Amino acid sequence: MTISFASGKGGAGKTFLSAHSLDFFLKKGTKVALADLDVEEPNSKIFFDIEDLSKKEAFAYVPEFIKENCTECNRCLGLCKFNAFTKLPGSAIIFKQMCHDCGLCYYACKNGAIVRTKMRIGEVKSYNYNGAKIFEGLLDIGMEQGVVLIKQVKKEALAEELELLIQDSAPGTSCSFVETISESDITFMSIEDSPMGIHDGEIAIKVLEEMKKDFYIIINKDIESNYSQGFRKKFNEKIIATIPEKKEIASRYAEKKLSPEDADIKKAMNEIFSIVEKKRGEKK
Amino acid sequence: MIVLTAFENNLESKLDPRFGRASGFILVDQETNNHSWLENSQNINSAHGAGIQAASNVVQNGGKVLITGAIGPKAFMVLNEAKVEIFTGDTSKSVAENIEDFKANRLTKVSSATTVGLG
Repeated sequence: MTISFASGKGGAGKTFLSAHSLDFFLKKGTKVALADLDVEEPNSKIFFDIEDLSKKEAFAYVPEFIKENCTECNRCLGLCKFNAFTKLPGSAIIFKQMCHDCGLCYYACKNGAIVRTKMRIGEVKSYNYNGAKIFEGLLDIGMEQGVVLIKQVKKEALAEELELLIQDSAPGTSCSFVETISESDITFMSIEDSPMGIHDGEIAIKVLEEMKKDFYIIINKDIESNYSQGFRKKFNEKIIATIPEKKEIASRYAEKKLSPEDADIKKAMNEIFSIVEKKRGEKK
Repeated sequence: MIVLTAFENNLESKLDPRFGRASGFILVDQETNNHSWLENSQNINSAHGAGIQAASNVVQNGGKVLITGAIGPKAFMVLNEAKVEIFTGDTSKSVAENIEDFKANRLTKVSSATTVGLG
């Protein structure tokens, strides 16, 4: 069973809720792991007293042009939909970071002039926290193949014998978010009570609806603002908890400390726990 | 073939300051002085790689000289590899006036990207 935390807007509480969930499920005795899929800036681990377990290089596959083999047949001309491979008279230009590894250029070339080669894009790391594993992907600077790395982190985490995998998504609604939620059983949306939190959150919810994914909403940093009233009404039955904006929680968070004893967080965690348990019951 | 970015298929059009997302290109045959239009509307709204695609089109259509406003790093690499000479034109002037300026050696040759690409 896999659950994800996402938000649309950055800084709305994805990592905050995923870290609290890891702690909560672990205390409940669930065989749980956390996968930090925000591969451009993974930081879930900073809240835990961890030890290093493993570190593996991650690779993507990109084309390389072998000029000596090229017969200028131009079958590859204009094929690349991502403009990663551009054929020019007598040569070719490859922007490796733009390649999606669709394989079309290798297929088009019958002369061995375009070959699939390995390129390092980052690392998959794992850590131990009180018997639970924390996985993270760390994309190398300048690389754009976040999705490839996210897939590898997921694969690594799902190779474990788990009852529950908690995924911390990247912000936004682009490919990284879609890849994160694609095989997730439930997505918990952390919606910050701010104009941007509501705006970006609603876009992410549209994606979830379009993908027919099961999702629930937690209003975070709740100040009961006027601008969030419409949103609350619209998604009333999806909202399972609200966490008020509190200085104590923020101060502790700034010191890399969680607040598992806070009554509102506890309540939110209990809601998440019972939804997960219910779904696990249905899956069996 | 001289290629200039333009807003419309007309030598009196102002030079389009954009390259990858220009409305289109006016192609001028240096021998006959005939000109033709290469549409670029398919690139204007592309998510990324507009500059690369436009540069590739310029090369495929036999462009040897490009006169435009600003050029990004990826488009520059493609054009440079294909040995297309790039000149910064005057975007307050028409395509025809820019051609005259080019012929009179009044335009500056571009030796590296002049703007940051959008990806």
